[in-house]
Amino acid sequence: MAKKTLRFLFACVCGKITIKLLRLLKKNATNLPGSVVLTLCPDFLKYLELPEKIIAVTGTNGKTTVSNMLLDILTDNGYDCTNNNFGGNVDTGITTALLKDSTLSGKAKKKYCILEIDERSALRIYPYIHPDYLVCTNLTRDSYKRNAHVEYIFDILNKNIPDSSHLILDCDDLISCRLKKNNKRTYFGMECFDDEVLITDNIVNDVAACPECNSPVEYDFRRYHHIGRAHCTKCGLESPAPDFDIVSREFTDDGHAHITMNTPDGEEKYTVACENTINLYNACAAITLLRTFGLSYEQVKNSFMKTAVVKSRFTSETINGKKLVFNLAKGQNPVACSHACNLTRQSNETKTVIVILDDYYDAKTTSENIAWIYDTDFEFLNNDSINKIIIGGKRSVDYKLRMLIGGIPEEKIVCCDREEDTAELVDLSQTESVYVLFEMYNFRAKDVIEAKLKEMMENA
Amino acid sequence: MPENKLRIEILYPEICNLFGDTGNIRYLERCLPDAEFIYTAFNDEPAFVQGGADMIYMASTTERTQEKIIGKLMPYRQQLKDAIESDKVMLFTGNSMEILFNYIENDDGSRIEGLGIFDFYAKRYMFNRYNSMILAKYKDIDIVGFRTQFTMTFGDNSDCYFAAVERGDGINKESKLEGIHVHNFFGTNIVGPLLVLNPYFTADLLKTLGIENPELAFSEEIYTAYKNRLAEFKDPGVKLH
Repeated sequence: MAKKTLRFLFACVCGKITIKLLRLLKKNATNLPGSVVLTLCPDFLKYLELPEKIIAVTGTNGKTTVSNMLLDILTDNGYDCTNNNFGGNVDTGITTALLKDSTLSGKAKKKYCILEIDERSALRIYPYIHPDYLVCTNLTRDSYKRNAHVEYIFDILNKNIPDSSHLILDCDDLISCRLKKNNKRTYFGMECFDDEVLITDNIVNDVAACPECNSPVEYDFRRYHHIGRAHCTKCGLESPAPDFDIVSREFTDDGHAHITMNTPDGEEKYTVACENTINLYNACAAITLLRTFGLSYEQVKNSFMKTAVVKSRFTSETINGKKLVFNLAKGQNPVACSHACNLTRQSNETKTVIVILDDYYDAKTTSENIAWIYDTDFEFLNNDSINKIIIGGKRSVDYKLRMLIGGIPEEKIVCCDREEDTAELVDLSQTESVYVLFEMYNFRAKDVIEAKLKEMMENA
Repeated sequence: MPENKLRIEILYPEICNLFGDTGNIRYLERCLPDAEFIYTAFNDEPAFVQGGADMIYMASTTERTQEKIIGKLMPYRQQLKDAIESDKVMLFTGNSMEILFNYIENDDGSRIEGLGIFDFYAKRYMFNRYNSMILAKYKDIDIVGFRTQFTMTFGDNSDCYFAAVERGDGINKESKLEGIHVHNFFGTNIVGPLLVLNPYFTADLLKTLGIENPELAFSEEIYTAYKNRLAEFKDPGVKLH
């Protein structure tokens, strides 16, 4: 630990005052205190006395869900953890989280810590914070502006993750499983299930060619995009064997899954809050971390019974016999949005789909870059069960064009300029369900549409 | 198959497919249902080597893959050069045109030798990603597009640029001339579905391919989307990034 400087102590006091002021104003202290501190003392984290045990979670998709699961279960088992589940996963948010739970002189008040860390923040975080355990959920395409491409993010992580961190990696992801080859590691994975519908028709596959020798890669099974078990046809590169492996799963009607897992301690059974196979990777990552960390099978199993799905991302309810589903589709992220399209096509009932994906964050000052929709599998919405697609927002014609190129019949597509008006275009007499795919910065329109649809369904 | 069928070769689609660029080919497939689309994998010999393609397309790729492709295409350098000089239609989007430059310079000053077909070089700024929209003029056609890249291009394109920039930057931040247009080779930093975003340019490209009266697929939607975007891009209140 570096000797604390006056600058550090001054920054620490200022950060603490900022947190107090924000509390007085009834505002959440997310990034601002960290921002104040890092402006005053850019290497603040170098001097801060950190918690004894640090768990970090990174990866493109699922890191918030996994972090929340870990926090819930560790808390349930009596671990008092510093955490940043209030939302700040870059250097400023992480600094705020650590500052909140430290003394005025910068000493950690808590022994344990769970941090969700944005992949791109690696170079500002890992020089100072050396996680004892680091989960990488997966590495897939994300925002082109921020994350460029997967190889770029892989390189950032590979260069900056400390050698001492024990990695928890998805063996079914032939990109992230190759991170830091000399680090201690534990792999999680999921077998291909007999009744599983694999997604073999994604537009994007970032491991179509071997990352080592560029020869064709052969998939033993491909679950979605590049996630699955694979081997190179030439150089011998292959998916590593899982240490924690889900070998069976059964979904319940109330949004849970009963899973059986092969572990180094033998077969284990869990019931986890999860509504589809792909999202089981999150629970799988969390169980692998918790069991590797030292929690017993019983501790993890009992705590998992109490966790719930994060409601803002996926909700499903039935009103007067009509099903209403809201699915966060995450704009600018072709993989997450393709998942939402895939989930929409999976059930058999007739559907009307509302698509409101304009990205207000991207379009805050400029014109939204819509290139990502050409890496997104809107073709999945070309399905007999979908009788109408209503697209709302400024970019609705762009989406219509994308869907037409994807082969969706023109007569099924309706556009309107205002997202809020999409609900009015639903004809409940023609459909058994309404699916709404919405963008994460568009909760305002989502709330209006939800209220309107619920009213229509109640009065139907 | 008719002898005069158009043949469009897509080079290395399994590794050159970033930033929505593949939308260009999916749209061309809709516009040219009778054409043959040849998807050449990295370990296959390109069709153009035997003169078997009327158009060659290459999309954006990663930095490491760029280097591998340079090595792969080096034995075909002369054929590629001859194809350009004999007016073969080529469209290289994003960073794919950099493969044809003299070299690509890394942040640390080290260089990767390119195919040396065009007298340009690219410089990588891996810690400074450049994002911007661009409005530019090709002939009398307004070109709209998006750029997201780590590199800037250096060299004199004053007599071989693709489009004169009205809003945004050219091949580098000091330039107002975007891309490279030599014979029927089009190289541009614009990523994503360039041909979907720019129906007038697409129609022009199809004419260059020898189609007298090109019919664009989904013409009503594509021109409406273009009109909407062009109005936004011309609005000074809409910033570049």
